[in-house]
Parts: sequence; C-alpha cells; structure tokens
Amino acid sequence: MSRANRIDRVSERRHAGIGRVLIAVYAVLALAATGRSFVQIVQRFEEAPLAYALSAVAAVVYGLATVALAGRSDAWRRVALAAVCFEAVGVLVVGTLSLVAPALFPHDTVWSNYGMGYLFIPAVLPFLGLWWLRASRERVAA
Amino acid sequence: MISWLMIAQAIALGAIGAVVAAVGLARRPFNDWVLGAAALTLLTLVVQAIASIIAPLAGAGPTGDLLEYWTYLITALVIPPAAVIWALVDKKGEWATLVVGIGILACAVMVYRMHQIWFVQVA
Repeated sequence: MSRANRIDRVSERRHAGIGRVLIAVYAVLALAATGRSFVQIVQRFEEAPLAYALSAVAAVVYGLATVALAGRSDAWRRVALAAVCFEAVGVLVVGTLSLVAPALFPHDTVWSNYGMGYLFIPAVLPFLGLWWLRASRERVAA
Repeated sequence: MISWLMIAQAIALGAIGAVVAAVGLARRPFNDWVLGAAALTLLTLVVQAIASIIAPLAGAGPTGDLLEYWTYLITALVIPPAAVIWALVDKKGEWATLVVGIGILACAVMVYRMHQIWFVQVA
C-alpha cells in the first residue's frame, strides 16, 4: 500500500468511531465557553479583566481544538495536540490556583475549581483528547 | 415564565437525552425516533423562547441577567439542529445517535441554568 493511502486510512480512523463523539463534546463546550465569556466581557470586563480574558482565551482554544480534532492533516493533528495540552495545563493551573489562592480568581472562569461549573468536563476532556490523539497514532504505527 | 414548568422541561430533556445517549452507546444507528427526540427538544426550547419574550412585556422579568439568559437560550436553540445535521452527514457513523443524546443532555443543563438565572440569580 502506498504511503498516501495509509495516511488516508489513518485520518479516516481518527474521524470514525468514538473520536466523533469527542469532537461533538468539544463543540458543545466551545459553544458554552464562548457564550459565557461573551456575556462576561460585554457586561463586566472591568471587574476582572484577567479572569474574563482567560475565559475568552479558553473559549477560543476549545473552538480551535474542535476544528483541529476534526481536521484531516498532520498539521491539524499538531494543532490539536497543542490546543489540548494548553487546556490540560490551564485547567490544572487555574483549578489549583482558584482553590489555593482564591483571591487571584474571585470571578468564575471555565477552569475555576477544575471546571466544577461545567460538571468537571473541562478537567476530563483534555486528557481524553490526549488519549485519543495517542491511540489514533498508535493504530497508525500498527 | 412558569417555574415548575421550566424545571419539568429540564428534567424531561435530561431523561430524553439520557435515553437517546444510552441507545447511542448501544450503537443503534440514527433513526426517526432520534430525530423526533431532537425535534421535541427544539420545540420545547422554541416555546420557552416565545414565553421569554412575552413574560417581560407582561411585567414578569427575570431576577437575574437577561443577556446571560438569552445567551444560554440561543446556544441551546442551536444545539439540536446542529446535532441532527451532524447525524445526517455522518449517516454511516456508529456514534451519531450518541452525539444527538449528548446534545439533548447539554440542552437540559442549559434549561436548568436558565431557570436559575430567571428565578434564583440576583443581578
């Protein structure tokens, strides 16, 4: 089989199956985070510029991850990996800080308390994303 | 706006979403029942939207933030059609039904949040 064919099959695999569900959940979270940060920024940005700017960045990255996971090329795969890693670090750092030093984050962000306001989905999703990216690549190698 | 009706809507959508998601986990393909569940979800949200326009005019506005409320409502209105379009595009996909189920569950959570904004939250 040619290399091109094999790559084609790989991207098919990344798309098929449970990966699609992951993409769908990412899409819903991106929508929710975008909506919330829109309201926060329009209404009371001056109250907590850091927290609300962070909300907006998180929303954009969730959107990017959604598109990248759905993308079919190797480049998109790298973008997806970067976006998902960013989210993992974000939820761990902001989640921890919001508990240890609540004064830093008096206002809610998607990642406060490890994403409790979103049923902890933001804490679980990046790791599922990492697992999925890795699993789909292992199948490539096999 | 009627408090108990909104709670009932959230519970009903949660139940419907859970059933559709369970059927989806069993890898049943997308069919007319799933389409019907998404349509029903959308219908209840449209009724809610109409009520949300009329209630403030009749002097029964929300205790919380109206902009936040509408952001949730519009987002929720987008989800069922988007999930169905997804499922129709992804006809051969094994997981299309689960995607619709997750969408309906997300709508249930949003209706619950909308109830809080309208009746509980103090702006």
